Amino acid sequence: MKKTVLLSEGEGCTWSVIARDPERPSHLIDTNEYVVAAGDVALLTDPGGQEIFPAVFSALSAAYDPRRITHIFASHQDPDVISSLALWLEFNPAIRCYASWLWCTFIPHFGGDAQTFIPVPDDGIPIELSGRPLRILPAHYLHSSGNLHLYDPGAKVLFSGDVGAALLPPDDSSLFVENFDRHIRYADGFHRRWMGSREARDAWCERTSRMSIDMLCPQHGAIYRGADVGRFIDWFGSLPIGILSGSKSTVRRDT
Amino acid sequence: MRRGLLRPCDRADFSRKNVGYAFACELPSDCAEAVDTKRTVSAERPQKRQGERQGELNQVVSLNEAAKVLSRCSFEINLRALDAIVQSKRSGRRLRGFDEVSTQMRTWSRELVQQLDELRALSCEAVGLASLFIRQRRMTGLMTSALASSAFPGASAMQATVSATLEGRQADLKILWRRIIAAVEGLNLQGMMACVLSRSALIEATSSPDAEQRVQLGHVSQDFYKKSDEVVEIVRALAKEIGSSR
Repeated sequence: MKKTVLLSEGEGCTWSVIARDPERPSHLIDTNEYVVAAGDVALLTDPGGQEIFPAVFSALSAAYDPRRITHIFASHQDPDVISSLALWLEFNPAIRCYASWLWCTFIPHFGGDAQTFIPVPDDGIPIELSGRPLRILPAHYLHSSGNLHLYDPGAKVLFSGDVGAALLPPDDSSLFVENFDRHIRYADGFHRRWMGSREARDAWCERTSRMSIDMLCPQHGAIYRGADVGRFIDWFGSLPIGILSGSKSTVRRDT
Repeated sequence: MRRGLLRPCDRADFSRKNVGYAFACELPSDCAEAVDTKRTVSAERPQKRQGERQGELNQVVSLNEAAKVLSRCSFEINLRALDAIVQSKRSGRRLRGFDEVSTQMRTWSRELVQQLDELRALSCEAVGLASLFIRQRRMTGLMTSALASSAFPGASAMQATVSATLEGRQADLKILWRRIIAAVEGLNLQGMMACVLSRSALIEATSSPDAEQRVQLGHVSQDFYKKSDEVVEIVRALAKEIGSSR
């Protein structure tokens, strides 16, 4: 079963990650789900696919009362991101989902209706979770054409969706990046293939390098902390990406 | 939002269970999480659109939340019993009875931990089966709509297959919930036994020749009772909640 691990705690707000399922079938990509809890409400980022819903729900329940989840944040429209939506809505039909306006008529094919979604405009929006200010940031074309990230300026945590993702080998279960040079090999092919726009990448790197970030939390793979956040931004900024750039190399699995 | 299971009794007393005498218990009147009244518009709990559903997953949440409170109770009983064992061993032969009862309480608290682990495993299984059932129900609904408007020769056979699959999922879930209810009933019996043990502890406490120690051990017995009673209350509320819907 997946486990819930506390990442950050302060000013009445916690960030936790639900990660690493040893029982996950190998045909499913491993995913990280993050829970931001403040007051008596909580937000779940990229809740995952319907196949992993039982593992996510059980792990979440061990640490939190899942009835606290009032909002879901979908970084984009992929099935490994949001296809469990119908199950979450079955549990609590009042849950609302932040998603790019672009996908608000596509994601309902997984579940939900017009009332479920809070369409986020292209420029992103500030939101609040029980008084805790958070910021939904644009990250379009990284990789989806309507892509969003979530930033908590208080905790200095950036949920970066597929940016920073790494397809780790099965024997690597570390939650945090311990050796950047070794880790980044597992991120290389993924970013070359999935990140199609240099302009979007450059804009993202320029913006994030000016932000104060203690933890960069991707949807797949290990979390970057401290100096590794800057290392990742520098690495990503100089990576040859774009349409089919280097795509013959190392990507073996799709997301 | 239902918080019923996190609201144990305000007061508990022995007489309610006909054990013979009363202890006033100062249990929290409401363990529900604090509500932040300063919530901003965007973070307000969204209005329920389809009413509060008491679905399969909500039952699992009730189970998990009760297990969390029971874990805390078992930890506290274990600690208190260990303290009581040390105290009675120091006092020698005259408190052998109190020592024995405290040891029994400690054993019970450990067994409670094991039973809760089993309950958690069943709860994980229930989430898996409930998810399958919910997905199947959704698929059955969609398939039924599709088949209703199509007249191909195998439509009715396919409809029967789809319905049978859904019934199968429902049956699996029902069996699992029976196991869960049985496990909860087991917890209830053990909790009642612990209440009786607490009474024995109070009787044994009077064996101490030292008046001050008698009072001290009396407090220990009260603590045993309060916690055992809390366990019984929570387990009964849980049994009522999950039993009434099945």
